[in-house]
Amino acid sequence: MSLSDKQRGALRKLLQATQNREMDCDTFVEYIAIHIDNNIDDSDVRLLFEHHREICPECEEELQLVLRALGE
Amino acid sequence: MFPVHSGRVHRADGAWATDLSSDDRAVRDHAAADLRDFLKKTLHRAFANQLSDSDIDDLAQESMLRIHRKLDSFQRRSRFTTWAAAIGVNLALSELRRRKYKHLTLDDAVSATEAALASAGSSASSSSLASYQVGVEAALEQRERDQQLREAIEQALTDRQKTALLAELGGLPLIEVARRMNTSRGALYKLLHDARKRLRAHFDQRGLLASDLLSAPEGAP
Repeated sequence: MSLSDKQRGALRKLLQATQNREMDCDTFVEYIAIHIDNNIDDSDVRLLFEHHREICPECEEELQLVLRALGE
Repeated sequence: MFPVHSGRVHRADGAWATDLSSDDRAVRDHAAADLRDFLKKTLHRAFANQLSDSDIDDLAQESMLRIHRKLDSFQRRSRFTTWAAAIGVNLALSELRRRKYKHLTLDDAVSATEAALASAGSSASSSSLASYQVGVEAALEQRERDQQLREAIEQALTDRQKTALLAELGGLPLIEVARRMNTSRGALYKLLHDARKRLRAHFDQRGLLASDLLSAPEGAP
């Protein structure tokens, strides 16, 4: 038995995408509504938000569900 | 004025927060009824296949309470309805994840990954078998990579980081790992972020590339 290819791939993706500064999940959730209404005006925050979308599938799912809830 | 998302609710977006905290009880109650209606519709749109009407009623009510608690922190940087929908979805998704994983303990999630790592290379495995198809040399290389990965996790991470990482790799969502470790999702993310940085530093110091170490075994589908 060994790590599955899925686990291996998930860890590889996480390590390759790791940055010194990242946005955590709680902060991401606070920005979801602001992002949807296009009001993240700080470019640094915008980059951190987009990076978090790539690295955290659970938060990306949450964002997509809010969009679906709003019918967008 | 922003358009509202719900077909039934025709309140100006800027009026929501004011009306919900109005001194006039009739205004407040009317706004609360509209908000409950809006939340039910939005939650139904997102979760109709996963939640019953009764669940949605309960979650709408719980969302109302949370919205009231957070009303003072609403900064008007988004539409009120977007902010409220995000709170409702957050609660509903947390509840769904809690139900889905309620029988999976932290120990189960950790030990499954731990066992996979501990036995890496000790016997013919599914990935090793795949490797044997392309030759013993590839199998040996894979065994060595697994061993290096196991050592990295053992040596570079704290016990708490190791638990969180192995539980995540074991398939437990972060919010459920956080719940079982008595911490917040944000704090857990920071713990795992530090763990990833430590693993990368460990690999860098040894001239190893994570992409090579974690590549799929040769011959694997």
